[in-house]
Amino acid sequence: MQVILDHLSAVIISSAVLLLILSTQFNAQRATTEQTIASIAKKSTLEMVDYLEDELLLIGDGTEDTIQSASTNSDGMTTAFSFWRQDDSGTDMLVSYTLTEQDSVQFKDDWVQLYQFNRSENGVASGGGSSTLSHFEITMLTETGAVTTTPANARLLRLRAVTVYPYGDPDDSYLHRTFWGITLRPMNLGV
Amino acid sequence: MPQSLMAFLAMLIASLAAFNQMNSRIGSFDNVIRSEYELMANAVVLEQMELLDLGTDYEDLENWDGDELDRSFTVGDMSIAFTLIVEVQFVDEDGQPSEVETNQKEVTIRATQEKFLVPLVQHSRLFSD
Repeated sequence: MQVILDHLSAVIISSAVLLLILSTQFNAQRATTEQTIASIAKKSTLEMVDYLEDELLLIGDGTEDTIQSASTNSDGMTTAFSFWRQDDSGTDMLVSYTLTEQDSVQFKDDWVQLYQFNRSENGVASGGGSSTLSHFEITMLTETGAVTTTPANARLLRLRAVTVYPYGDPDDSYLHRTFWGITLRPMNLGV
Repeated sequence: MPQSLMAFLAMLIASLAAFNQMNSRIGSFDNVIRSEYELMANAVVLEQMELLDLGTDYEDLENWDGDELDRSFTVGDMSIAFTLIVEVQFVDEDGQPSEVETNQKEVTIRATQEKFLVPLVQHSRLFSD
């Protein structure tokens, strides 16, 4: 009887130890994957917004007009934004940013609509960016910081973007999205 | 008895490994979350700096010194509040703080947030007359 009890307790203890080690290993693996995904998403967002920052500062540089139009939807997102700038050869071109709807992803109980960021030059598609944006916003501000919808009154541009990580099992993830924002002062606005 | 001691040690080591791994995971998440807050604070501070630059004459800059401003980073329904602390001081040609009046002022804006003990972001800009 004593021998059976010894064996039984040995099996229980070794199983417990094995389970602990496996669970630790599994958690470490998941954490690494989540960190990698977060890092990729952040890098992709920063690459896109770096380009936007550089380009938006060129609004109206050498051209007669500056911002042509800006449209927002009911969620306050900028769905279209057009402005004039010069290309590398010094020719005026109309650059347009638009958002197009992509799939929706579910996080916990919420469905999040994803958008693709598109860019065009004189109506011809050229470049673009993330297809996992859940929010994108370009707001025109006056010199006092008030929001304006009139391009002639705009002195600053406030940009906001949110990128979602549509990977893995969202119910098991703690990190779902990454935020970015900046306020730019294109020198030719309001001049 | 030796077997029991070995079993206890094995469980202790495995538990410690699990605890360490959990701690390191929490630390990583804290870092990611802090970097998100820093990006938001950066956006809010830069906007305030541009507004201050656009709307304030050089002579009036020191009126901002010591001001604490409540500003938010808002995206859709989500809004994160920050407190911005403004500091204005004269600096010399080397950018060092000066007790006497010079022809340039340095404006520094720090962003603090209630969840963090130390300022998240700090930006300085030089203004000259």
